[in-house]
Amino acid sequence: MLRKIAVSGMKGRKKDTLILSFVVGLSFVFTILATIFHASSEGTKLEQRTAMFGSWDAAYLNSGKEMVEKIKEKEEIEKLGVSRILGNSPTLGVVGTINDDLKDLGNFTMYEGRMPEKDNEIAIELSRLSYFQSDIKVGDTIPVEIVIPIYERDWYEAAREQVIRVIPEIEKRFGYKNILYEMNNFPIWLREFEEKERKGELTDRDWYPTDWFSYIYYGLANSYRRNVHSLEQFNDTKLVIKTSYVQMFVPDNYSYYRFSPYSIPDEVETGLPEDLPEELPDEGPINPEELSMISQYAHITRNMVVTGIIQNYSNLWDVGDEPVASAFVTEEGGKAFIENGFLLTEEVDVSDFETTYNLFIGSNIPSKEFFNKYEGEFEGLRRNTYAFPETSGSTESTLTYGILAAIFIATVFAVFQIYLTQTRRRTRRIALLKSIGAVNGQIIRVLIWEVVYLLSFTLPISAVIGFGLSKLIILYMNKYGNTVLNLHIDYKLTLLGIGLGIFSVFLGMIVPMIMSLKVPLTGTISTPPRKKPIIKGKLKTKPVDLNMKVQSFSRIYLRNLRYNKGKTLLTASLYTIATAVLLGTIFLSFIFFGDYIDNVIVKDKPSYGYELNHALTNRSIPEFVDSIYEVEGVTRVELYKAGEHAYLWHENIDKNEIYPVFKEILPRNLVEEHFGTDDSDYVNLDKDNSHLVKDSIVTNIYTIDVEDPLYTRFEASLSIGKLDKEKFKTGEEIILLIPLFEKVEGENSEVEISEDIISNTNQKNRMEVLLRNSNKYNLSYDFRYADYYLKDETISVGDTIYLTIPTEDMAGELPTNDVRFIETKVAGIIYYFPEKGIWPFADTVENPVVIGSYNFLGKAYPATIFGKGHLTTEDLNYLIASIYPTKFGKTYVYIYVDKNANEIDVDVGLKRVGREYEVKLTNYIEENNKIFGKSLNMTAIVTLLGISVALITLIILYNTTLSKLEQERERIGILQALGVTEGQFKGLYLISGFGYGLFALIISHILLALAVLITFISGRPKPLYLYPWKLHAFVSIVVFIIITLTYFMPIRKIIKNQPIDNIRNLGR
Amino acid sequence: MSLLRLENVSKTYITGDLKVEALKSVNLEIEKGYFYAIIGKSGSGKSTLLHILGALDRPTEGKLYLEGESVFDKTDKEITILRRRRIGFVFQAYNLLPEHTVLENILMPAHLDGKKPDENRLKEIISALDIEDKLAYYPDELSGGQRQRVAIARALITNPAIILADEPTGNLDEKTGQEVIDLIKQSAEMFNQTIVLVTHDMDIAKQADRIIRIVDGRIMN
Repeated sequence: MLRKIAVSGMKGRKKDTLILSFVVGLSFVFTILATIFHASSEGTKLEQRTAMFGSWDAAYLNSGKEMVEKIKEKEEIEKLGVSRILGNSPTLGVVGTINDDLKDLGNFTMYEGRMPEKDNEIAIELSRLSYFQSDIKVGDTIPVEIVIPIYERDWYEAAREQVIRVIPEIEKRFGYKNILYEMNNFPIWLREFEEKERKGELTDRDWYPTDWFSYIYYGLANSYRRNVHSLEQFNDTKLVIKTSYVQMFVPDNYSYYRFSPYSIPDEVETGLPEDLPEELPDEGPINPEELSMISQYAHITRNMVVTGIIQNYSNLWDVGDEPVASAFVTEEGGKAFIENGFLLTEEVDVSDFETTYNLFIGSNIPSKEFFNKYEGEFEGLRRNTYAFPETSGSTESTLTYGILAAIFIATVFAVFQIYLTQTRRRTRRIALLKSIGAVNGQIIRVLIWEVVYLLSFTLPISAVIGFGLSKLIILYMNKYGNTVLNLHIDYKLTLLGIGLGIFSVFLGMIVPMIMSLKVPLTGTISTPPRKKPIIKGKLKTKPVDLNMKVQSFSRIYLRNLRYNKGKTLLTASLYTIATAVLLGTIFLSFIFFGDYIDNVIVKDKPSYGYELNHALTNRSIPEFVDSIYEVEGVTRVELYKAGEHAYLWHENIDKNEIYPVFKEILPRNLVEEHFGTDDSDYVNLDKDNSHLVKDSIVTNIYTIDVEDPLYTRFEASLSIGKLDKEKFKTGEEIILLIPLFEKVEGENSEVEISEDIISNTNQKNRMEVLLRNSNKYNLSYDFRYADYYLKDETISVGDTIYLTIPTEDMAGELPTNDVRFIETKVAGIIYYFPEKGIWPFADTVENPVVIGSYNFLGKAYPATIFGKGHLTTEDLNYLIASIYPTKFGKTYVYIYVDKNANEIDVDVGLKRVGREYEVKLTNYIEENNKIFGKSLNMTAIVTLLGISVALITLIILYNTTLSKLEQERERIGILQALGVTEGQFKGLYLISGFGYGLFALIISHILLALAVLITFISGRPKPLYLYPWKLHAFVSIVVFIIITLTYFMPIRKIIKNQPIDNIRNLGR
Repeated sequence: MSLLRLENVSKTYITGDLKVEALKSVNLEIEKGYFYAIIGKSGSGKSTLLHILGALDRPTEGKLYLEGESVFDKTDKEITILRRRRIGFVFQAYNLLPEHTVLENILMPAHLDGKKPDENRLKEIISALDIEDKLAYYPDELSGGQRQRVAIARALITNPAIILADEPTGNLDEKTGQEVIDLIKQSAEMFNQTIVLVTHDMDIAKQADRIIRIVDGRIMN
């Protein structure tokens, strides 16, 4: 019966029931959304981590066979991935076996093909393909050669053994003594040598401990290396044992020692014959007794079919320096190499040989728990911290629980408020129930049944909506958000959220329930008479002024607001909460997206980059760029030919306020990288032009093709000046990049810069990093600082800059010490890039930078015209490292990729181009994605939080306003009857809506300002003028309008009623 | 010329499928200076008739004339102002605004019109209604009879041509009810006003100059 009463009651209050269901349903929807989103975010991250780092919990590497069985016995072991390390291959790296559990735990991504299944099959890691001479494809049969060391020692160790062997003969033949003693005494000599070297007291004599030591020591070069090979064949397995020995000979004449890499000092040679033989004597016959073994290796070779190419993993896993297989064969395949191959050899005794095993453990308890339990028992056990890092206290988790808490509070509040309204409205029904004998317990049960029925239909519906919406949002984010998120459900968390939701409904109805019980039989909740007059201090005994001031309608209304100040305050608070939450959402999103905006968007960070250690020739550039564009997905390529370390001087450079400060904080050993010094004694620098170097700042020159879109970009980015394309092309004019700067004021301007910071800088970003970290200056090319930072005014458009560049030439066999002088005019200056920056300048914030044409670079660095010429890469590297550090220039290539392009294909394609041109590819995409993913996840969670709380609050508000107006209808009717016009009502409610909106905005901004203060108080403040003020203003205006309308709209309907419709109890 | 005139006024309430004809082609003339009592059983339409006379509700059909002018042909704003200036209401539930003092409640119709009532007239009214010492009180602090006096004072303050009272004694005991009726009559005589009073109390109705009996939405005599 009570159930029926509850249901019929709910049906009777359709509107109320609908609002209540909506609020409760909405809170469940948001709860489910928040928990699913959190679980999906965490789940996807875990998936990504386990896909990249394997899903094994712990690893026991390089273990013996007995450990396999020992670990297997542990009850927590669910899977045990075993990889038997067979040996090393020159092409394949470490070759190991793989079992099914390891395939599961490794989560290997096959670039192509599959894992091996038969004993003649092998799968190879992608990175090893470049070690083969020719392209390797799935299905190819390749010789797999595994090398097992049987015996290894240092060559010198073996040679020393030989020296000791021959010393008696040397002493005997040449009459010297104590050579062994001198050799053994070598460490003491070395110490003394170093001490003398430190003090600068070294003489030529000191370079050799004794005459004979030198002969013997360097005479090791006169030893022979003897290699012995043996071949055995066991079915399909070929086994070659390669043994290396060293044998020293005692020559008839010690002058043979002069063939050693280091010549003997003249004074030591005294007495040596002049007529040295042309060649060393023949090696002579091998006498096994005179040999010292250096190494012995087994080379086991089998032809195997490549079944798959595995995406690189071995350098990613959390295995420290321990080797893991980069090519896998089956366990049977492993036996074919070892048991049916190597161990059958009759050439050497390998009975003690044992392979090692890498064990990867998949346990049925969490990774950390397993590790903690067994790290003592299995020394060297490793935990997979990459796949299962410490996650407690992650910001996402905190935010998710924050959302649940906010939804919980909002729901309690909403349910409380709605029930309170309902209780007031249905007092008659409760009174009726009581009058016909319902006791309080029964009334409570009716209310509880109501909640149960309410939940019975809202919960399933909202669950469906919540799950559906989650799926949709995730789909949308994956499609448009440049992120990969897989749907995951953490049932425990979702159920916790739903449980909280149910609890919040019951909690919200407790107070109204208690009030319901107090309903008197007359059917109205008794309100204690107001003892206190509204106008305080107005004594009734005091004579009343009959000629009182006219009360306008607004005054009457204000009086009503004051009379109901509790409700007024509640309404204002709710509006404020909604506003503050929404504005807070923008602020938090700004914080979370700040990194991505600052580091990727504003700097126009590319996806990939190449750096060539020489400037490409103009003829080869189009071919190179075309080969990059051939990679599917590449949308933009930006190429700079650069010349580095040029001294730049201009009039008034001494007035530049930043350079001296930078010089002051720069460690002494780095000064020459940034400034010309008095020590820079170039030959063709005289008194008249020495200032061009000693008063200069070191700059880098980046040059572009005037027909390239980059030229247009630079032209459009000019803060001042105008380019003449022809003059720019010939090098008569250049663009100068000089960043905006801000002098940091305040107390902490004497900050020491740590070694770590300095060592993490390079010549290009050092000025910006050190000035910022020392709290001296902030430098930036970011347009958002344009109105706030200063511009360097020591140089302007039309000024001449003087570049002095070391020629790095040779005069005969000696390097010259000349410089080349270049003069050019500044056609334009870029202080900041409008909107998007130009990479890499926006990132490194070099100061200053010269942007010129290829012709200009040719003038400044003539060698750059010819590229690397006929030099091999190796030779070029040697020359750059030794005598021509800047002569050949550089080429920087930045590649932008379509966000929907297949990342792996692009990566492989660009690596292939890189290999072809012998340049290394830098991948920025992973870093960008990481920043973006994190920003997006955080922002999505915060936005969800903001919208959910704001929406629930607005629903509460709407309901509050409606119920308030419902209660005010009678009053409105009375005022209508007394002559208040529709216009007066509308105007007043509109103004009130404005008032509430304004109040909410003001208080929200005060709260936000406090939050900003608290957020920034500990860290380096993020300039608020970077904040999306337009969005903030837009949301503020929208919120203001919504608040006004929420308050204003309901009154329109009520005042449309006839006064008597509003005064419902008239005549009763 | 009659003060108020109803011409073929009908009022139908529709609630879902239910259609209730509260007034059926009512024709009625209210003349100036008289005390009218509308009587009838519950649901006969007497309150509806009073509401239409006071322009608190619109008829479904027919017209209401006030001093010859068709009331419902005016705009809502004009009707409201007309109600403010020409009609005084006394409700059974008093309908005083609790956050305002007695004096403020009384002066409200005049103040809403932006006017200050004549102080002498105010004194006259509060003296006649014997609420001079209650002016600083709030309605919640008064008895039912006292509240109804305040409501009457509020109805009289703008010196309306007609006072419409809807069962003003419904919530009062017999003695107080009679006092209220006496006060209304006395005020009306004093200020030369027309009274239309709805009641189901025949003793009160008998004190009226004219009785309008309404049965099932039709005026019988």
